[in-house]
Parts: sequence; C-alpha cells; structure tokens
Amino acid sequence: MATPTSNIRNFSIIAHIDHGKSTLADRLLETTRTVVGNEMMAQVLDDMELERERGITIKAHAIRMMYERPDGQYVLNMIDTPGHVDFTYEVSRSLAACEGAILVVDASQGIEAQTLSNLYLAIENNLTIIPVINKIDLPSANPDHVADMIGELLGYDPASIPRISAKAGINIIDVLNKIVDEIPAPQGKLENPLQALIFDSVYDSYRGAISYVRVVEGSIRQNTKIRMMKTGAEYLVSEVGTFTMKRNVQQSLEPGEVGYMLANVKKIADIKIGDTVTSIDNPSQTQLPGYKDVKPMIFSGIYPTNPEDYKILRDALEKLQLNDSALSWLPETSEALGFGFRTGFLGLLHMEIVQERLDREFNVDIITTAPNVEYHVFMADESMVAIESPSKLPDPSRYDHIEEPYIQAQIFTPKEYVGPLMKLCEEKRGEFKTMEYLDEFKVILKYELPLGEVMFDFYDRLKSVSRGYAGLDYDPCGYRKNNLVKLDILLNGDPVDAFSVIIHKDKATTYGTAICVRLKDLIPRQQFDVAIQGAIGGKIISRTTVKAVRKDVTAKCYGGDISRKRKLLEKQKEGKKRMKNIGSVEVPQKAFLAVLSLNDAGSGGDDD
Amino acid sequence: MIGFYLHVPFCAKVCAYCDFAVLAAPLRVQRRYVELAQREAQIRWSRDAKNQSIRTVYLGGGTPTELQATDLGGLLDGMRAIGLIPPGLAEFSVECNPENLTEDRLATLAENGVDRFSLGVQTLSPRLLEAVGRKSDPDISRAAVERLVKTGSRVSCDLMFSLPGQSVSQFLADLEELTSMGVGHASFYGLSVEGNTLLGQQVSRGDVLAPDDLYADFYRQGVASLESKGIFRYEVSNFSRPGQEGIHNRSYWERREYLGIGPGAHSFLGGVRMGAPKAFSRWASWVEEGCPIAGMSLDPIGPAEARVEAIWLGLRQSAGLDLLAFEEEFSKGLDPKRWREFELADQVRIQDGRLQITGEGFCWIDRIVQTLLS
Repeated sequence: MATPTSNIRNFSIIAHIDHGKSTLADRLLETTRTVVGNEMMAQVLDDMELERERGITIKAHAIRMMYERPDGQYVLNMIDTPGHVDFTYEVSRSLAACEGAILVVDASQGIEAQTLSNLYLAIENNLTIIPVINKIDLPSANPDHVADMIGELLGYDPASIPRISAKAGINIIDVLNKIVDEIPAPQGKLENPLQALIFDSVYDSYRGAISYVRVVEGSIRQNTKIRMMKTGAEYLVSEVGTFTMKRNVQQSLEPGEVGYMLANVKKIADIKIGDTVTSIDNPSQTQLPGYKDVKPMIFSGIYPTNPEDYKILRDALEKLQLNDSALSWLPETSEALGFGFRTGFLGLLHMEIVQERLDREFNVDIITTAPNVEYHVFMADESMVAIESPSKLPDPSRYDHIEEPYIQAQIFTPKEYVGPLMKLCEEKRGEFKTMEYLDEFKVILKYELPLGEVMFDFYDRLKSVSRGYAGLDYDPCGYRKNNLVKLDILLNGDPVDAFSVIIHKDKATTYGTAICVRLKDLIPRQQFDVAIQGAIGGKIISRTTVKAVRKDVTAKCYGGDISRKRKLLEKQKEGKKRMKNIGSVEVPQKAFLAVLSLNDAGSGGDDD
Repeated sequence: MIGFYLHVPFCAKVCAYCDFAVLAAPLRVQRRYVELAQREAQIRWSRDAKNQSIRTVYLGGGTPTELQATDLGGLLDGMRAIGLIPPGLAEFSVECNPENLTEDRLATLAENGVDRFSLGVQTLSPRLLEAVGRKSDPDISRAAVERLVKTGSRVSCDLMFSLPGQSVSQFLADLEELTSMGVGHASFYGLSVEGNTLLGQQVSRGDVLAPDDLYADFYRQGVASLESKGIFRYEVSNFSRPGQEGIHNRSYWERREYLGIGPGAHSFLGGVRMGAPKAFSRWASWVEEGCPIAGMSLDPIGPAEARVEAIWLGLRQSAGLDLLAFEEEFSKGLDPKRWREFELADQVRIQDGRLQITGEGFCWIDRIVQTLLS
C-alpha cells in the first residue's frame, strides 16, 4: 500500500457511556465508504457477539478507512476503546497505538467522570485531542455551555469545536477534516529496524493467534523473521494485513500502519500484549514503552461443574488470557468444589464477561464463587500474608489484624444528587474527602471507600440514586486496618468453604441473615430438610431452612403430554447435571453467586 | 392397529385449574368444529396414518358432552363413515361431565357403541367444587354415576386431591362412596397448579394456599383405600378392577401409535409425535389449508428419545420396565448401579425381569427416572 506515512492518521474515540461513541464510529465508516449500504449494521465495531448483546465495547478493535479530499488520499486508522470504568487499562492500550483522540462530549450532559479519566490517559500518552460536541439535535442540547467547559478544560478555542449529531449525520465531514488537519502523522522511518507494538490479540480457532500491531519503525511482511523482544519467542510471519470490515491481506505494514500479523504461533504465552516485535535480521536495540502490568482488583474461584472438565477450563482460560492480559489465575482447591482456579479480574463486569465467554466461546460449564478483594493479614509475629480467598484466612488466634484495600472514588454528579450519594457512600463505609464545584450545576465528590464494598452493587446504586446522572471513576489508594471477620455458611451443619466471605463486623449479621434468606430461595427443596446457617467463628448468627419436598411426580400423562413432558424431563436432567453435590445437598450453580443478587441488583453498567 | 383420539374443545366454563385447549363457545362454532374435525380426519387418516385400522377410540376434551346430542351424533356418524369407528373396537371411551350427561346424549353415545365412560367428578364436596371453579353439584355426579352403572358400561371416575382446604378423610370418603356405587375404575391426581391458569394466579398472589405437603398422604391413603376394595393401581394415577384397565390410555404408556384429531390433539404416527395447532381459530384455518404437516409441531422419536420414553413410560406402569426387552430394543441395558439407591430405599424392585416402582417410589418417580436417565 503506497500511502505515504505523512498521509496516515491513527486515532481513538473517547467518550462517556451513552455520549455516542459507537454511533460516531459508524458514521465515520459510512462517510468514508468503508461500509456501504446493507453492510451497515448499527455499531459495527462491536463485533464480539457478547459486546453487541450487552451494548458495550470490551476489546480494542482497529479499522482502516480511506478518506479522499482535494489535497490527497488519507488512511485513517480508528482504534476503538472500551468505555466501562473496569477497563481503564484496555483504554491505555488502545491509546498507545495512536497519535490523536477524538473526545466526544454530549451536548446536554457535558463532561463526565469517564470522559475526564480517559482524557487524562490520552494526555499522558501525548495524544492530540480533538473535542467534538455530539447530539446537538436534541431539544435539551446546550452546546455553547459545553463548548465553554471544554475550552476551559483543554485550552481549546470553543468556536472551533465541531458540533455534530452522529445519529442524524450532521457535520461528520468536519470531524474527518479535523482528524487530518490536527492529528500529527506518524513519525517512523521505513529504513529503520522494525519496531511494532502488539496492542491486542485474539485467538481464532482456524488461524491461531492473531496479533494486532502498530508498526512504529521499519516494516513487516510475509516471511519476515521476527522476535518478540520481551518473551524472546521467534517466528516466521505468514501473513500481514489490515482491517476494513474484514481482514485484507497486504504485502507489508509500514511505519504508522495498523494491522494484523499471523505467524503460526504455537505457544499462546509467547504473545504478550505490549511487547515489541522486531526482525531477527535487522533487530531494533530498544523496545517500545509497552504497558505497565495490570493488577487484578477482585478475585473469585472458578470451578468446572463437571470435575473432568478441569483441563478444558484451563485451556480456555489460557486462550482468553491471550487478548485479556488483565485476567490472571492460579490453581486452587475447594473442599466443596474440588479443583479449580482462583481468578483475578479488573472488576465485576470483567468477571461477568469472562464467565460468559467461557460459557459461550469455550462451552465450559462453570461454578463461580462470590468475588472478594485481596486482604492483608498481619500475623502475630508481624509478618504479612496476602490472601485472595476467604477460605485461606488463618485461625483468628494466629493473626493480629486484617487490612483491606481502599479506593479513591471521584463521583461526578449534578448537585441535586449530592445528598443521596453521600448517604450511599456512608452506607458503604466511605470516608468523605472533598467536594468541588465543576461549574454551577456539577459537583465532584471525593470519597475513600473499601473496594470490597464498591465491587458489588455500588455502581448500580449510584446510578439509581442519581437517576443515571452521576458518574464514577476510581483509583486504588492503599490498605487500611478494619474490624473484619470471616463469615461461614453451613449447610446441614457443615461449613461450605466456597460460601465463606470476609466482611466488616458491623455488617456481618445483616449480611448473614440476607444471604441465608437468599440461599433458601436458590437451593431447591430436597428429600430432607436443609438447614442454612451463617456463623462467625463457630457462633451461629442466622438460620433458614429449606423444607423437604414430599413428592417428585408427574401425576398426569396422556397422549398429548408425552412430547412436552419428555422434554421437561430432559431439561431437568440437564439442570441436575449442573447441580453440585455438597455433602448430600444438591446446590445449583447460581447459589454460589447468591451474594450478587442480595438486593436484586445486577452489576456493572453499560457502555454506548 | 392404532388408537384414535378425538378432541372436543368445548366446556361450559373453563375450570380454574385447566390448561387444556378448551373454550366456552356458541352452537355455531360447535357445528363448524364438527365439519372441520371430519375434514381433518379424512385428510390425516389416509395421509399420516396410512389407513391403519382402529383398535380403540377415545372421545375426550374439553367436554364431548358439551356438544348438542344431534351434533354429537353427527360427529360420530361422520367418523364412522370415514372408517374411524369400525365395528369390533376393543374399547370406545368417552369423557363426560356429570352435569350435561343428558338422556338424549347418553342415548346417542350408546347407539354409537360407547362402552366406557370416564366421568369428571373431581370431588363430592360442594365447597371444594366451588373453590376450583367447577360448575357442578355433587348430587348430579351421584345421579350420573348411578345411571351409567345401570347401563352396564364400564365406568371410571376422575378425582382430585390436594385441593385447597381439602382433608385426607374427605378424599377417602369420596373414594369410598364412588366404589360402593359400582365404579370399577378411578383416576386421581393431586391438584397441579399451572402458572397459566386462574388458580395458578390465585396461588401466586397468595389468595389460595396449595397444600403440597400433604400430597404423599393423600396419595398413599388413596391407593390403600382403593386396593382394599380390589381396585388396583396399574399406572401412577390409574386404578381398576382386574380386566377393567383403560385400553386406549394404556396404549400411550406402551408407546403404541395413535391418530389424534381436533385442536391441539397429538398423534404418534410413523415414529413422529405431532401436534395440531391448539387455538381454535388457528386450528380451523390450518384444516382449511389441508392440514399441512409444516403447520404442526413435530417431535421425531429417534433412539435417544425412545429410550427416555421407554424408561419413563414403562416405570409409570405397575408392570414396570421389561429389562430384557429394553436391552434388545436399545442394544444396551440399564446399569443396575443406577437404581441401587432406590432399591435400598424400597422404592423400586426387580420382579420377573422387570424393574418396578413400589410403595413410596410412586411419589418420587420423576427423581428415579432422572437418575436412570443420567
């Protein structure tokens, strides 16, 4: 492809949930005729089945567009970024492959929490920012006010900010021209030794590992002998290409270009996102900056429902990790659930997505235990043990105290919701830090909160008490000593390790009662009574009973019933397979995540 | 030889617990039904059932006796003309409700060779009848039983237990009274609360309590009461004096083939279970289009499905599952380990090479079947 480097522009779009990022992406693809007519499905970038279903962008994607204007033909590479608060790390990956970013701001809502946090990431990566005001066609739009806010924030001339409607297709050309005029062209040189950044990779069951690369210096083509500078793995490139709506094979990828690389990779661990690819024949001496290793924030046990699937689960986790380096795991065993993995995630949404991908893409039936954070246990001899699983907590006589991780939360909200939000934070054991006015309507509340409290329903509650207007962003801010205890759940007198949680003492009784009540609904009636008890250090604090069933019989069955009832039997048989026998009690998968449905609240949020 | 089931989708009033394809309809619709049923039978007996001769006829519903005597006669005449009610049937059963079993209808049925009546009594308590929304009166039921027994036909009564507010002794008194009147066959069911019924809504709203916990007591004592009178269980919910078992119904549990005619009626023909559209209007237009196969729900029974049916339907019968025949049919027998726990609990036994449910096992049959299937 003979597009000179000077005519390439690489950019991301950053936006708050619902500010119209995917719609703008669609419109750019349409305007540049990258997709035409009935190829156009709403939000084409979200190509993972799960992403489309949930309406969120999880993984980075890259699409190449051609844009013609009188002064020449330009290649615009659009690299998508995820928008959920759990995925800050993925955003920084995408941004590192770009020179510029479009900042989409809703003309009614103005600047929001994630807009700002992504904006800071973009500025940290030295990107040129192009602000765009979207949804100007809505009756509630106040573009002048929003333009002033952005102008102040970025030192950008408010008058020159494009005012668009991605939905109605208004002023999209302005955005394309801004990209060409303001985002710098890539700097690399073709004659330099190869340096290409792996910014994503996916596993394709037919082609193996596909790496997404941004070439910084030199070029890469079929039969280039490459070395991964971090892992040291060496391969022969079998194909390179770019993405429009599908993969297009190319002769080579040159400086500034974004595309994919296939190299018959045998060991998944050889490909590390953030690694630098160079050529063996003319190696680069230096690596690209790459990414800092990401630390998982929450942990949960993942076990195969069927013990024989342990190896399949392990392979699936390995393949998932290929394009989800935020996922980490270690083998563990549970008395109740057998062999499985203690798995680390960025947040609750990340956890749910991994579970669903295991189920859908790898067809592994799993049981997930209640998520928890990493606790620091200070032993009697003052040594510290970090535990990722409540069942690993030593006997209380052996340790002095426990510390739990805290986050600093920034909550962006219209001022009228400050009261309810403060109440919510207090309820979650938060400590108030500051409150600042962003403008005369908007406020930033800063709280320090235990991560263990935030990870469950905090985000949903925040959205609901603020009618969806408040936004959240957070960063870890160390550990604090608190009065934490281990709460065990007993089924017919036997503690079930997979149900144990570590919890603040003041909340233990309420929680213990709630969880016993919830489990009573989730555990099906058996042939005998099942006692469900909550206990702290051997002291029972709550109890419910699942009454025994007295029958299990389909009484009536005549001609018309046979198909229907046979199918019911087959379904029940499948359901039985998914049950786990704990002692003599049959426990369904979802019981292990009962804690997530305590308030009938799900988790996570949606991106646009 | 196959069975013939004819579904009459009418009821005077839809009972609170009913989820069948039934409706309360004016005479005009009933006449239209008679025409359409004949058309369906004409098309499907030759096309789907290859004109196989008929062994048993079962006229069910709904309430067949909701039809006017003349329409009832017309319906049966039509079927006879096609060949679906041949002479020499092994059994001709009719379901009827006590309140509309009038002399003229009874006469029409007798003329057509009906030799077994299945009477929907449900309960002899006026209060309980009202509670489940039945339009009936126990004295009318008693009179109907008396009249049918006098005709010399075989008479079966359908009863219900576990009704809201019902006691076990009330239920036993019903059984006692009916058997003393000469009824030789009974079916009884614990009330099952389906979500899509009036009663289901009442229970889920908390207006009505379903006494599920007494199910086993009702059932166990009901079985004992009937057996003490020489009326024995031959299927989970069916009881008869020896020799009076329902031949048509038993053919379902023996996986024999049958042709079903009428809205929502199912058939089992050529190894496929098939169902006609259930809603009257959809069934009517389907018949007018010539009963296209594509308009039916189809459930082909391959070896895997047949295996499930053989186990499940076999165990429902007191005679049980013939293990050798099972092994021959599916070239792999059942593993005795699968039923060991139930054998130890006296819920199943092996008798003459057959696996049979016994005693308490009949209250746990679904669990036993599921374990055998997995």
